[in-house]
Amino acid sequence: MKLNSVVPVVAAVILLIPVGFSLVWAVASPGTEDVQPFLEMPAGEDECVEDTSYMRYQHFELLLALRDEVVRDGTRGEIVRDGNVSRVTLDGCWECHTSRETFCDKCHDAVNLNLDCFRCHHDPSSGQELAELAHLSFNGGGK
Amino acid sequence: MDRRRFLRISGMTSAAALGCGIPVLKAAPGTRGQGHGPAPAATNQWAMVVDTRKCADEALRAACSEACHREHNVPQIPDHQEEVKWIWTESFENAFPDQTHALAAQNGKPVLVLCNHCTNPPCTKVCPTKATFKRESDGIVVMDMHRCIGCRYCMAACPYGARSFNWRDPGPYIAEEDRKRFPVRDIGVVEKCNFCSKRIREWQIRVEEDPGLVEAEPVPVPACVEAANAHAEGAMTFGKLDDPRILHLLEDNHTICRRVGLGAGPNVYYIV
Repeated sequence: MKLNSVVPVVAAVILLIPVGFSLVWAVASPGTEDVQPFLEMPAGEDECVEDTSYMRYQHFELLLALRDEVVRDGTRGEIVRDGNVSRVTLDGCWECHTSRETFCDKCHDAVNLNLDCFRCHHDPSSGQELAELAHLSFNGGGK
Repeated sequence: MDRRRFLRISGMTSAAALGCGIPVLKAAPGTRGQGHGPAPAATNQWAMVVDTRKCADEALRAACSEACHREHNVPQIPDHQEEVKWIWTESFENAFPDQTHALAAQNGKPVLVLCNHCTNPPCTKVCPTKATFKRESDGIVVMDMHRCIGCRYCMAACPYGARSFNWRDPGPYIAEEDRKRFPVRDIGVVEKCNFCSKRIREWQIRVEEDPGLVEAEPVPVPACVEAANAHAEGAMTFGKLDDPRILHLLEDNHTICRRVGLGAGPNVYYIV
């Protein structure tokens, strides 16, 4: 075998070694489960508005649908749980989910998503520093 | 075919085609829906009657604006160029420029002005995102702040100057506690009067839960109407266009609307 044909094969093997190691590392690592944030149930509650899997992946669709019912149709969105109908209001959400940090932000921070809801809407934990927004102006503060 | 003959035939053909088209254009029923004359409003349209005689009281008008602006977290920005307003005072000749003349006695008199929740609103037609739209259920011209991209076409289209742009973040002007009552807006969106649609919805829920309540509280009362009537009973009246109270006021008094010639079909009526 000539040297010319051996060099590329050896080079490829050397380059692939780190890739192989990282794959083995990823499969063998036990830490992947821990990355997913854990949300505590609100006090006195034992289930979500919908199934956990639905809420995890589609909660925003539910929120957008309810928002459109309220804002665009002028009706109050309703949620039915155990045969009880409850009207959707933001205050109603905050009755159970009393903290933005431990409810909204926990997952959104984990996936690096910035929520802009609380620029306008009431923050249940009211910890928002309004002063930090004060420097913002559409025309850059000048005229 | 020589050139002269070609031109004659093509000219006659065009004239014939145009002639056929004219009756079709004429027959198109109300495709524009604009121009002079009253635009038909649905009877489920919320409307307001403002008695300009009773609203001549400066304290009344101040209370009225303050009640609205407090309720809806409208920021009181000192810089006139960045001010946001939902209901405010204009002089008669500015509110009704086409219904006065240079020597008219009513010139200079104050008039409370707000969004007219037009039957044929020009603002909703120009909105590229349908952020502002006319609600079919009750005719209120509503803003969906989530969709507004701040292009301000609606501000250019509104003949009443009823819309304000948020040049700066209104957040610092609003206490966190007040946000519980009504959401503030974000920098870069347009806002305006919503005929107290939140109060209307709350009233609807109350009446749904207790139908007997409609006797004591026949209509929802917007914040401005509540404040104005606390000063002078009957200064402002709110109701559906088929509400006998509204109809009687319109029958018994000389009422005008702002800039009716534009065909927007305003639904705020002024007793003069």
